[in-house]
Amino acid sequence: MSIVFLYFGYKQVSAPDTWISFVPDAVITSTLTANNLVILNGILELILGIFLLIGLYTRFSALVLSIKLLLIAYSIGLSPLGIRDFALALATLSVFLNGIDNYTLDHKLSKHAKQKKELVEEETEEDFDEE
Amino acid sequence: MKSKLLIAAGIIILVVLGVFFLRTNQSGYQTDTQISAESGDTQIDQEQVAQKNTIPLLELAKHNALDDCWIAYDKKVYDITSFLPRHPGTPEKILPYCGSASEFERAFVKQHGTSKVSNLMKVGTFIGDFDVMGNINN
Repeated sequence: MSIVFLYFGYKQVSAPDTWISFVPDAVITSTLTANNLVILNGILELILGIFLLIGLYTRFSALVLSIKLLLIAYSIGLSPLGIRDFALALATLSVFLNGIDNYTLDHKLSKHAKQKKELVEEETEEDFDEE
Repeated sequence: MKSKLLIAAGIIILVVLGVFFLRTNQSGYQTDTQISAESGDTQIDQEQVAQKNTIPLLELAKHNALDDCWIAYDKKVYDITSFLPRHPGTPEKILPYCGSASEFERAFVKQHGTSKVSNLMKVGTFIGDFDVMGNINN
């Protein structure tokens, strides 16, 4: 999933011209042009794509990406492109619902933090016993 | 928690810097190609300018089809017919603005900002100056 987001994110920041036709007119303002919106969206997809890849803030990243894809699928409507985005949104949503697994950085960092906490608690208990 | 935030901040900074360098390099490349393209077209443009073409709105408005599309931007008229099939947002998005001046200019700036003006001049064939006074008189 993350590779899909990284690919599209890179494409959006490297050639925003080819994506501007997908930007709805309602979100375009005088300062935030369609071109800038595509680049900002590309940056967001790259960052969250990397987060998903290494498993950092996994659930948060998956939720944001799936909501974004659902909105895009809704704006595109019933077409092959819209259905594809809808399927991708559901796949990303399943990552959010499933949560972190053993291979994510989230899991490793939380495990490390838990071990550290337990060690501190043990040391405190020992100090009390000695007193 | 602190290490997670640090890693996330590092990734965000790296991505933003990467995109910034990518965009800077690309705009530098585009500027170079535009300069070379413009210098190649200079002869054609000069010939056209030499004819001192001034296009009134009535004349501009006649070129409002997919196979004959003129637009005016910054008081200059361009023929963008050959570019229409290559427009990423489909030719039909430009069609309503063919044969127009201020409408096209507004829509163009709204969609692309002013960063793509040089691209417009590159893809369009310069026809002549837009005759603003002629329009008022007419």
